[in-house]
Amino acid sequence: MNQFEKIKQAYPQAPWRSQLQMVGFFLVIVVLIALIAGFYLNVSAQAAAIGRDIQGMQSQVELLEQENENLKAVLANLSSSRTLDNRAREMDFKQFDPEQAMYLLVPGYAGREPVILAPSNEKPIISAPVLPEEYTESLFHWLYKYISPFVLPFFEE
Amino acid sequence: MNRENIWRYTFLGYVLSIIPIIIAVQLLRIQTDKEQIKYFNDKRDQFAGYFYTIKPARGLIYDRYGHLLAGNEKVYEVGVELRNVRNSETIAMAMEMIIDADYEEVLSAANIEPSENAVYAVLANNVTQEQVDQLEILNEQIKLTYANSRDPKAPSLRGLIFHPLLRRTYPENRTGSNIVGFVGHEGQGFYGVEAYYNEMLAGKSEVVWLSTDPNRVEGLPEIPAGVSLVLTIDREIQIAMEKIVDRSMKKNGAESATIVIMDPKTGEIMAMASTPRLNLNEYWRYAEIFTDSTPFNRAISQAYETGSVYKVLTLLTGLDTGAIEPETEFIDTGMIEIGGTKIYNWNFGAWGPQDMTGCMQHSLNVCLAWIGQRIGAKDFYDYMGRFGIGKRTGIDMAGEARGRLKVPGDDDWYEADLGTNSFGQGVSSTPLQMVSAISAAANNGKIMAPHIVRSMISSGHQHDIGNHVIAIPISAETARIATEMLATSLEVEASDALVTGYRVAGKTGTGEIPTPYGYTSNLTNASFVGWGPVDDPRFVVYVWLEKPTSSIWGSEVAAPIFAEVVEELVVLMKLPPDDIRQSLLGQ
Repeated sequence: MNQFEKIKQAYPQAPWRSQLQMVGFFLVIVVLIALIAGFYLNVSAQAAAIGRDIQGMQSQVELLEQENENLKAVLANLSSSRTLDNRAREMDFKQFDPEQAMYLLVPGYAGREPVILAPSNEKPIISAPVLPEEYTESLFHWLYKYISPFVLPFFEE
Repeated sequence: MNRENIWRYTFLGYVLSIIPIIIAVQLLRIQTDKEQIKYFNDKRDQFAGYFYTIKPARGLIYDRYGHLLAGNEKVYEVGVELRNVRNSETIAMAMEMIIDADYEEVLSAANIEPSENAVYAVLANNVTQEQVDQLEILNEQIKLTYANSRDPKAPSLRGLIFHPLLRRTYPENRTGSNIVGFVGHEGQGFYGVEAYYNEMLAGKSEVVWLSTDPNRVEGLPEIPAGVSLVLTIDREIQIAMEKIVDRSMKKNGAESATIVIMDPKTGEIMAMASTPRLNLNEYWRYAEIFTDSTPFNRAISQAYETGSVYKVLTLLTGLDTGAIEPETEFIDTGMIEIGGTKIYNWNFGAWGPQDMTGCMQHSLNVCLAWIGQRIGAKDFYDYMGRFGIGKRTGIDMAGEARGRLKVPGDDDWYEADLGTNSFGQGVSSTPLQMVSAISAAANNGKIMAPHIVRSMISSGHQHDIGNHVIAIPISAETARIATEMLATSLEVEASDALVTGYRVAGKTGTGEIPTPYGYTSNLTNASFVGWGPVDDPRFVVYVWLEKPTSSIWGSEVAAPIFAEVVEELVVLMKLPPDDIRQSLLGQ
């Protein structure tokens, strides 16, 4: 047995070698667990942060809806009859005299229309151009269209 | 390693092994102990989440041109988190100073001992944004001033919190209050449109459970907002009518005044003004204003004996049944006896030969009772039913009264009632019922369903309610003839109801007020119903003054008010005088 063979045989049998293997194996497991735990923590922290953001946004939505309603009321107060009346007086507007009225017929004008605050629920008329068949038909239909004139007469009496 | 060390290491090994076993056993014991399980489950439930009510904003109410009549404004509930309160006296002082809250009440609320059941106390409601801003500024100032103070009794607003809420607001205050109604503290609609459409306006609240764990956050369900309403009324006409109502009531020393304007072609109510009116932003003053069972809206809730305006219905029935024609002659002897009851004219006079226009012009009770007799009880009451007398019109407002019409077969109906009913006595109707019934004369014999809501806005779409015919009691020809007769009778009489430039038809009414001892009161109900322009009616106007003291006669009290109403109305409707309109149409 030469020197090299002796070392080769002695190396695996060395006790420190076995211990090192054990420690190494243990450390690998610990590192793996730490990595998985770290990854898990990172993901759950991100999810929690996003969850908090969502909670914040939900309350923000509620506050904005309230603010929106409030602004409508503010606007209504600014254009209320009393406010407009006061402004008209301040600006020295005069009461309308019916005798000074001049009436004109405006073709196509049917008078003041009641307010439309939202679209009606009637289905909209689709004004988009109709696509040619080539863009919509299936391969089977395309084949049928060309083959049927030749094939169908055989099935008819 | 000697033997002694081996023993030590072995002992240490056992100890270190036993400790985790003890911990594991203890864990197992806690996990399976029923009391412990309950305790920790309760704790978990306490902090795991909370129930949250998603309440949609109440729908808005607009006039026909989009002016907001009822909206929502942001206000705050101010309260204290009891555990965080440091100085309740500072809180009470600040609340008294800025919100005008009662010092003692706030102090006792803020001094409540915090416990599991006492976490939060409400100090004030309906606090405005400006007041909250002032409280926040004060809080910052106190914090800055006493930042370094170690005195535990140093001034502090710690624990004070503000919770934003939406409160109903009415930008027009009193205008249209009888129509709109109001929303009380609990969010319930009272009277008018607010009550009738309460469920639709309020929308549907939903209670959801929200987790406090951010990892378990879920999207909130989509709750549709409350339905918004566009009314048929025109704010400018409503304001003008309310001014006339207030002025007329004062001028004539009346107990109340009411004006209703309807578009006869659609049934849309253009204005409905009555007294008294409530500032809807101060709804808690309701009991001060509506005393002694005063109706919130007399136009729909108070039935009364309308008197001679009812003669229009008798005339329409007589013409439609063929019982009379405009030229039918009646010789008025000043008295007629029906069912054993003697009926006299308003002045107890005899008016001699009259045609039917003359009967209406002079408002002859004797003539109208005779017409009633000619029609006959069956046809007369059939027609009254078709006109909707004694039935609710079905208008979309809360609190509509039915009125009273006795008919043959009722225990308290007598033959004499046919005579008295023919000129408007012994039958009660609301102003709206009268407008609806008489609108048949202004709309080719058709009665349209009276309504106050023009369209609804729901889920981002506007739906128009539409106009519906509810009855056709008379023919178009009858309507045309009666309108012509009543326009002529006003012109011949040179009535105070006439309006320069506009031909109108109408009838006055002076209704005696029944008492438990008969018609013994000297007070009356003065009314006028009119419509125009005669060739293409665009409005029916009803005026009612309750117990006027300036004069008891409708012709002297209510007729001039009708003229005033029409003069204002045609301007606001941009309706040219008849001659100009006809020439414009001819172009």
